[in-house]
Amino acid sequence: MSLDYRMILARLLVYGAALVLVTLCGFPLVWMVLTSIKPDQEILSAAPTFWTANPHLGAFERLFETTNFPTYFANSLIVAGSATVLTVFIGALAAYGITRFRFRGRELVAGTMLFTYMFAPIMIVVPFYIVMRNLGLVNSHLGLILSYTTFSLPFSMWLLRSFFQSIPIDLEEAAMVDGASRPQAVIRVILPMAFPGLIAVSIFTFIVAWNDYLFARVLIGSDSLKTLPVGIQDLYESTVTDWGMVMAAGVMITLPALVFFIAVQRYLVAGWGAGAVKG
Amino acid sequence: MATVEFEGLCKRFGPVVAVEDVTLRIEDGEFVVLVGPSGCGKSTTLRMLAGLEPISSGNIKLDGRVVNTLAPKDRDIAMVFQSYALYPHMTVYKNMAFGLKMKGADRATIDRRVRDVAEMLNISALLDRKPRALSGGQRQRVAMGRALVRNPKAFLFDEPLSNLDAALRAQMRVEIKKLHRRLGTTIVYVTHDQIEAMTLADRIVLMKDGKVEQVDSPMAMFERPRTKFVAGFIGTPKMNFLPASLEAGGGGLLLRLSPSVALPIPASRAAIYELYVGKPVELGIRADHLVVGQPDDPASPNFEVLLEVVEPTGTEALAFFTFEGVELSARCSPRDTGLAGKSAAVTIDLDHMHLIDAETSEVVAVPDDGTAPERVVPIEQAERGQRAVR
Ligand SMILES: Nc1ncnc2c1ncn2[C@@H]1O[C@H](COP(=O)(O)OP(=O)(O)OP(=O)(O)O)[C@@H](O)[C@H]1O
Ligand SMILES: [Mg+2]
Repeated sequence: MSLDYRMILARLLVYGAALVLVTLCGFPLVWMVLTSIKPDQEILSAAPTFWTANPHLGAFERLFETTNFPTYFANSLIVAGSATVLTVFIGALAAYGITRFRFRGRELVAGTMLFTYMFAPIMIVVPFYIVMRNLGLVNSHLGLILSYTTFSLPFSMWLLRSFFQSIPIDLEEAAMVDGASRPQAVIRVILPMAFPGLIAVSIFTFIVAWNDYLFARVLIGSDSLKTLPVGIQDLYESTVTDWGMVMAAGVMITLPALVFFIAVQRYLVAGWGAGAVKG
Repeated sequence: MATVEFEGLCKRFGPVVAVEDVTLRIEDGEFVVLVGPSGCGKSTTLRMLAGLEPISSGNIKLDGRVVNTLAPKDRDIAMVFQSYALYPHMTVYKNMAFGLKMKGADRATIDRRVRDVAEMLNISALLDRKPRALSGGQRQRVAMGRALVRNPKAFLFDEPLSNLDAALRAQMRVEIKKLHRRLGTTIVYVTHDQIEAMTLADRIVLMKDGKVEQVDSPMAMFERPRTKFVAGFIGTPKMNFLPASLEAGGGGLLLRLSPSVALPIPASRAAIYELYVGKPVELGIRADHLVVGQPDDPASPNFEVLLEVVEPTGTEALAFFTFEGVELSARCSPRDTGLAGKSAAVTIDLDHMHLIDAETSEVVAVPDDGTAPERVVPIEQAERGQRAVR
């Protein structure tokens, strides 16, 4: 009896703690969604209301019709998508090379990869700007894509390296003796096995690129090239802040990341697990 | 179907010489076993043949064509790995179909081949499973199936049975031998287990420190080892070695084993061994020719020893004793297990002795004079014996 009681109590504590966490993280999101569909008077009324009696999508309409939001959105997709593809591609090649070939400095490269994260982004953004200016890549999507790739590549390589290391070299050799060229062996045998790692890396990169404000702010000038975080920031600059619209924009930013994340999160979980154990 | 030739094959890993000057010709359809202690370069040799390891110098020829730099996929060779190396994300069927698919075979052909081979290896019921749902023995079969499906020029095996238990290993050994009879494909097989080598091989290639020590049929290797190393490596229990010297006496040649024991060398060998009088030599003699008990013919050379342990192995027993500070083993009757701790006479059959030049560690060659061949120890018994010795 008392044991049962204790177990129930323990359960309650665990679930209670989980609930607190979920509430802390989730409430702002819920509030954002609710605000985006409230009429303006309710948003600005002195006594905040939780539910609204008359939800409407006026804020979304305004967002799409009176601002450059669709352009920002497309820009963000292009930049984050390209950075993701580029990072996964280069990261996989690099990790493969580091785990499969012997060359001078291999250990050094592998060991110092993560050093790049010792510097806060704010410290390197100015040097980065100068480099990009010298390359003529300021105010271009390519510049931004390269920045994000540079930034997420070390971590991606590090993660993929432990994935690739955990895949026995025999498998690849068996495939090659079985009639596959090296690229074929990699595509048919190695990559499917490293799939969780590739997913983890793409989520990481996508989210870094999708959410970045700093680099986009510094590197991009023209309105038509701005990505979402910067574009939305600029919505505040109008004389009267349209809170409903800002919240609608917030919802629209969160949605793709959320959808992407939910779609692939089971691979991510599998990925972290495998990477952690085998790394 | 293919002949395989190595010409002065070398492989260096930095300062480490893994394979040194290996020259060998393997005939079409031959079953050759590379055997030797750990680290002697067997796997490296096999991997060079498969194209997985670039060669440092020398030539590898397949069917007379130099393939030194040919990619593995273009050599049309199949390999069974010690780890089996089954693709974990593919079903057994897909694993087996992989090679044919890479070759661009059509679906119907692939399906027919895979099912035929699965039938042959008794794994038809496993085709839809993933490798992780298989037992070790089943994985081993699938790995062999994957190699067989392609009908390659040659099969390479790298210690394919070392992850199986003893019973399964013995069974698979027989199956591999049967498969070879049936298919007649050239096989190069690597193992460190001399029993596997003895039972499977048409010819054994015994390697040591990256070099070929001797190439011979299993029986020739057993009966006429060329070096002390070969003599000690092949056969169970391990051959006995005993420091000795040769001296003239008694109207012939005497083999002195201790101040009190000197045995007459048979006349047929005396002429050859004469050269070694006064030089440091060793006697090599298998337990089969060192028998506990008084000889039928009282003139046969024998000496007294104190038996320490007697281990019955079924049809016979092995007795262990120390002579002149050297551990030796002798054959005895299983009825004699009570002799442990007692002294007994040991009869030595010097017609089957090996004289080893202690300076070169080479066995002094004796022309095949038609003396009775050595008794072959049946495998099962040999294995039991081996365990007993350990
Ligand atoms: N990639 C490598 N780099 C450096 N040295 C190596 C490498 N591969 C093998 N060697 C060395 O080459 C020698 C021969 O190795 P190999 O794997 O061919 O031995 P083996 O006969 O197959 O032994 P085992 O029975 O233990 O499998 C060993 O000394 C080994 O340490
Ligand atoms: Mg080996």
